[in-house]
Amino acid sequence: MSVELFGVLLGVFFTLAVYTFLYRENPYSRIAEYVFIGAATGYGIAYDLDWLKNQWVGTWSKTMEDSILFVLALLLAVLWYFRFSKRYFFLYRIPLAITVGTYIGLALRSVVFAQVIEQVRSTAALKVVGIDPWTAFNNLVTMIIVVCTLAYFTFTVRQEAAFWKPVNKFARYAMMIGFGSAYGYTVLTRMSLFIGRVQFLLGIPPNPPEAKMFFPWVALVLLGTLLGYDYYKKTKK
Amino acid sequence: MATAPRIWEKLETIDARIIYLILWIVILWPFIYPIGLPVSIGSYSLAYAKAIDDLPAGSIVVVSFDFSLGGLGELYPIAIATLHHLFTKPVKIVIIAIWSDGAIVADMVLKDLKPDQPPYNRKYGEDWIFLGYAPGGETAMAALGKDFWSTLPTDYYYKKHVSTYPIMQNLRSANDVTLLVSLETGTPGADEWVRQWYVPYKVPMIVGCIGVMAPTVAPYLAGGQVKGMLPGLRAAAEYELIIGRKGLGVASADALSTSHMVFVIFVILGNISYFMRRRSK
Amino acid sequence: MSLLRRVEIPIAITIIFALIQVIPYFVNMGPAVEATQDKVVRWTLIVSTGALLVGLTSLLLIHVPRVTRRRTHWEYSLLLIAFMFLMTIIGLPFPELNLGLTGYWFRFFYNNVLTPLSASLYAILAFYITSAAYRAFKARSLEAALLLISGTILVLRNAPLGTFLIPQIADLGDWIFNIPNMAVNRAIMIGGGLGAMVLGIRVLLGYERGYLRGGE
Repeated sequence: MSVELFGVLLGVFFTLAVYTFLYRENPYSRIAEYVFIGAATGYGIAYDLDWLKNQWVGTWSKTMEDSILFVLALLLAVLWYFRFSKRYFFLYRIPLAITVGTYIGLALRSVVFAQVIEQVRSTAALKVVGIDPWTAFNNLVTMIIVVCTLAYFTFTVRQEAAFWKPVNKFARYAMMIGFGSAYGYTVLTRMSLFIGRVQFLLGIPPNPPEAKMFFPWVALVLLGTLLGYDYYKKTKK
Repeated sequence: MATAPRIWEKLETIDARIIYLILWIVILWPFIYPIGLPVSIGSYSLAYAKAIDDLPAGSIVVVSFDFSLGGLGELYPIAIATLHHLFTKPVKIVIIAIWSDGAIVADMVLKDLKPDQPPYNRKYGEDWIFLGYAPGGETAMAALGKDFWSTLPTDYYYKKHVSTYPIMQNLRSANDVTLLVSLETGTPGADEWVRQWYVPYKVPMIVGCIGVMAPTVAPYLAGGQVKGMLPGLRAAAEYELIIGRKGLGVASADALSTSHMVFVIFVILGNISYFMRRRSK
Repeated sequence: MSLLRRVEIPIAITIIFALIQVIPYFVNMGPAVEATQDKVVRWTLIVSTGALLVGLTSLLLIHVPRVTRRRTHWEYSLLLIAFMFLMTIIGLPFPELNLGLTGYWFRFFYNNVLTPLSASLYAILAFYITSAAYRAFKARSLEAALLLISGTILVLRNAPLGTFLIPQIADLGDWIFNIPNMAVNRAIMIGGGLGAMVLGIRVLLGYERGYLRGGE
């Protein structure tokens, strides 16, 4: 068996090993779970190291000043490790503060435009007169839902006045209809991801066609051993 | 009469493994015996394709693979179709990844498409380039927006400095980008691109995303920050039909139908058994 | 050393780094300041890569004792550690040794181990969502009924068979997506944006210290 073919066999095994969990938790599913965590962490580290090397070669090794800054950044990066030390925990806060500070600064300068101003402007710009009645109706519904949902999530005001009750009720109903969309698309995603795995198992191009050959045999072995073991245990009792 | 409620009770407490088995069967079945149902095309898919069709010759398009391997089932067909569409246009394509897994998928897609070979015949470094993964999420997006050369100084395949490639001579910052294509599974994704690339540089953007994300992208679509969207596998099938290249999306259409229909049947059955049991009480 | 321990130090660092990004964005301070601002962002990316150390160490802290003390499932922990180091080593950026991201073995393992595992683990939710919908997605109240009806319409809208049997379902599904869904998400986005702004300002003023907690 060539290495490539063995690779496809591994892929089929790991795919089916995950799904044996549907029957019950078992050694195959545990192997899949632990190998995944280990491989994913190692993969992440490899990618970061690669990026760091590219940064050094491509950007930071050009001048002495940049080289010093790069080494300083690496030293600060090592301080993350002190997350696990009670005594030196304060050192961990330094890279955290740098990362959080830059991130907050970057987000803060544009969040107000992207998420607040642009969205308020888009809502306020909706026309309700001088256009066809259906669009006018939709625009009106959009505006009412936006305002009512915002009001529903306003916790800084005591919602005691009589008008809050219908507003909140309407917002709740609108949200439920809206969340139906999220629900429908969640179902789509979940099914699609599994369909993707089935396409792999059936070797549908561009997936390797050899997977189709391994699929029934691996499935048989995994299921057979699990069912056989359970049957053996049951009869032993 | 006493047996009726017992049936509903039994139906309500059915072994979950029976449901799992049924789902396996209804998804496997159409791949063995295809039905070939037609797929109607939605407006967002048309807008997504139009955004690419309308690109002037020589435009620089940045395609960002912002997803985890978990989203492969939905985004792989979208990624393949999008890059195929782009490679058939006279535009310059710069491929990046903001998620580390994205680099894997980009590599896989490029291996499948082979842009250097017919029918594309696009030259690496001149017509397209793969710069790999930029860690840091939103911070990396901001850094790329300011300066591509410093944030991703070498390419993915040959580890050569980007300044040595002709395609990169005209790309220093987001100001030089005509269209951003984000293929995404979550955060960082559309929100962050809008914040870091649309707000400061007004870079037009289209999004191919997993279905779960679609509702959160809707306000950007309505507001015009996002020009087109392909939400999930159904949209992938629609897009494949628009560009005339049937692939994994169209191949999945039947399985999408059977799985969704079985899902609806289960919901209806669950509700009937719930109301029947409640009535008998 | 006692000065470094004070919580005011990281708060000050946070504020300085946030202001470096905020002030030159709104006030034109010239290309030199903008270049520095850009460099700080890229420098921060290098600092933040160390965060992976936290993940790596945390995994080792859990799994190494499991192996050394032969606790339940220690064999699996050994497998985890082995794969973690294997992927790291074969992915080391030394192409001259056939290691690295484009190396044969790194590609082999991500194609045949990581990709099937990752994709399958997420895809398993298809089964749970179906089972959960059957058991729990019931019209127990008016709100639940609205969610149920709207959700079912969208499920049918996303199935080619649904739009084939009832063509109007496409328009109805699109209406739900474009109007109530968009409006609700827009309101949530505005609320979230305001919340993020307030949080940012609280961090800038040094009131928000939650992220610095721990270690006591």
